[in-house]
Amino acid sequence: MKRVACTISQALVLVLIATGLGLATNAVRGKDRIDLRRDYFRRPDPVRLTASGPAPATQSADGPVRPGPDPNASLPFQVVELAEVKQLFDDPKSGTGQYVFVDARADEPFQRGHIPGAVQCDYYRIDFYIESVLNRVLGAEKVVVYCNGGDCEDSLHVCGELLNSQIPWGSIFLFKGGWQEWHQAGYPVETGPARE
Amino acid sequence: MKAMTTHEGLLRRLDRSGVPLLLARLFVGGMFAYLAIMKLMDPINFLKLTHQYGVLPASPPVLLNLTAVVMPWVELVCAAALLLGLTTRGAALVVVGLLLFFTPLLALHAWGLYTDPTRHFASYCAVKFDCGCGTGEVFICRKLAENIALLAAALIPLLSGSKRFCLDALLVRSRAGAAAAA
Repeated sequence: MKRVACTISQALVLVLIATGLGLATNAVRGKDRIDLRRDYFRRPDPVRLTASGPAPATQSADGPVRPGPDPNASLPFQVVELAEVKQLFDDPKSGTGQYVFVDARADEPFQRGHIPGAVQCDYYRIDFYIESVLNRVLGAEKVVVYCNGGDCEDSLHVCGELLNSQIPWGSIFLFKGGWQEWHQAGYPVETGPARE
Repeated sequence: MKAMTTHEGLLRRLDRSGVPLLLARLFVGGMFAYLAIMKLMDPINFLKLTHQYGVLPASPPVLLNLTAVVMPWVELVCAAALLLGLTTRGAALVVVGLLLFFTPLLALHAWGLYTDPTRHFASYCAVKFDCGCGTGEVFICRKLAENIALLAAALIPLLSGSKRFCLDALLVRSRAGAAAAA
């Protein structure tokens, strides 16, 4: 009985030491720090975010179509396919900053390869990127956001963050196929860190 | 009856030699240290992979986030304790608890990813995913076999009566020495 109690108390002490070490190292981790109170996985809700914004309606009665989020859509942002993304990439407006590509992946995959000229905005470390990303996308006509593709939801979260930062819903586009589709299509690739 | 007694005697003698305990400590401690370091190298990725199991509630987020922060350290501290032979049984208890909790969870998660309508065992074994264990993408059957081997090995320090090659033994001896001197 004494042996069982001793074993359990040893286990508790080890877990307490680990908790202390975990919290202490997390506090000084910088870019890799996990914000304990942040809900990293909450799906963005553009309908709510644009409710008080300037363009929530999908159709105005006496004017042109004004884009807005559709509460019934499976994805709450405008989705672009590979062919459209390539067209936007080839458009001269990409070179002038009117069309901007935002890569929502972490450093390592981004530096291994990304759409040329894309600006990095790692969703999980967004505090380190959002300022420079906003400098690039504020005033842009179209902002195409992508991540790895497949089940990846990081681009969706970055779309939500951009909308939260006053980027109009109508200029945000989600490239669901993401890096996988772009890379598999054999389109141009840039490696290394993002351009200044 | 005599054969059983001899058999028991053999096991006890083997346990008293401290060799099975030492080997088990090195195997489990080494594996857990490696897996913990791999997780600590990319905590955000570990957080994402922990979330995929859907075991912890997403709201409030603090529980999920705290687990991602603390879990690799629990593994590393227990690994260090096992390798040093310090608080060996306590560390083994934590390791056994972790393995008993996560191994069925892994099997269930792989079952969720298992889409083959024929339900052949071989195709279940072909399910490959990043389990968040620190080893990247793995085949489920290989991972389950690895966890069962770890569990079996972790039971040795938990149940062993030996303290040979452990710092625990030094502590007990120095405490006994101090008591005798007093």
